[in-house]
Amino acid sequence: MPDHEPQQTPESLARDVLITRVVDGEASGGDWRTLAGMAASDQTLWAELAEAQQSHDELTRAVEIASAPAESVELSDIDAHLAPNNPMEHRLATVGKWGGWAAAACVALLWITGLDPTAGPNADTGNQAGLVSIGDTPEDAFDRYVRAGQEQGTVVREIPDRVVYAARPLETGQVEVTYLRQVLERRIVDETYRRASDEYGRTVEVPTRVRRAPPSAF
Amino acid sequence: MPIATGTAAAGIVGRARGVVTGGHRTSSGLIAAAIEGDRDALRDLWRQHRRWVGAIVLAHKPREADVEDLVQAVAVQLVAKIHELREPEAFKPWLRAIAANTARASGRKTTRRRKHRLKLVGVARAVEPDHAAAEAHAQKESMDQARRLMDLARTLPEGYREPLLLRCVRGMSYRQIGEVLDLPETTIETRIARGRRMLRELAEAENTNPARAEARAGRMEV
Repeated sequence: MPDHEPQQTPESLARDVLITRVVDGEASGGDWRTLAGMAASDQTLWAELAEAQQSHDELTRAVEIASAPAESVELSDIDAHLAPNNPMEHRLATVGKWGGWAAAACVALLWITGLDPTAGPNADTGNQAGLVSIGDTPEDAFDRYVRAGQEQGTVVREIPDRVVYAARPLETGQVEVTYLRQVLERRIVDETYRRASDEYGRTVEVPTRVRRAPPSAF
Repeated sequence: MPIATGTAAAGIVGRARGVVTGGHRTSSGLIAAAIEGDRDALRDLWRQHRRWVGAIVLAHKPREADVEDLVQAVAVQLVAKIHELREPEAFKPWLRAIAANTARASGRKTTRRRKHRLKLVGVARAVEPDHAAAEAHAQKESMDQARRLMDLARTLPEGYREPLLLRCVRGMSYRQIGEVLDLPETTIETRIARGRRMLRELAEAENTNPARAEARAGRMEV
């Protein structure tokens, strides 16, 4: 049952159904004759029909645009669920469905910690919290990545400012904004190198020494 | 694609009960095969139905939620739970329920997401060419009107909202909409008719009282 039944007389409903059939291309010959008969005594009917047609066309356009992204969702992205025996591909396919570099970073962390991103919260993974689970949004996955990285010491924090890379107006009247999210990461390494050119112009890596500096602000 | 080979004899039975007619599986055959674990059947099935899944998600999602993300979540549920489906003929209402529940569940995260407003720095260069500006402006006005109608349609009671939006998906017939919502065609027809009347009255009310439109936009704004 609908949440709310509109108050309408049977005559008014019959008129609306008739208009709806015409708009939807479902009207029979009898419907058209009825419509013509009604219009003979009610001149507003044609205007109402035109308005209903226009309204339907506009609504259809908006719904078509808004629901179009559904066409890009393929089960092949989720196919790993059906073949969990290939752990590496499984992890990449599952996390990769979000398509972001942040999720890719999660893959690396997952691989190190051996967590299964598709395992549920009760799965025996050795880590109750887990990092990524099916149903998480990209934002959730990113937050988990930052938290897990901070716990492991590989992520310092996210830089709050997001930097606009490009902005493009869309046909829908909206604006597509592409921007950078910046994450400050930390690694401890044994040696450092810098890139240089040898006498033949070839790129070579030259060992360097990093001088001691005052304690980091982090 | 594990379709039976050979001549185009009618009624060839393919693997996993996927019935093949003239080289194409029937919908019921695809559903049965998918339930039994046929991946190709499941993929084909999904491609046949994902567009209206998008419309159901649209009918239930909060404004800020992303259709593609939600449809992706529905696809995950489909893969995970298809084997639990006992009656192939119940597939469409079953998938519709998953889509509606997934979209509604995303609304429960709204409050938390509102705390994370997008903050940007830097200057973006406009790339709209001058000669197309007038045309773009006209298109924008037209799209604004279309989007306003869709926003209004999404405020209708569920029983009217769903058939109305489904009717906009590639001209789904009353019968097809009835299969998804598990309702008779005559009920679908009546609900679409009433839904359109309610939509028209809502639009007229906003035209005569712009404050209502602002209030609605405010409620829906992230």
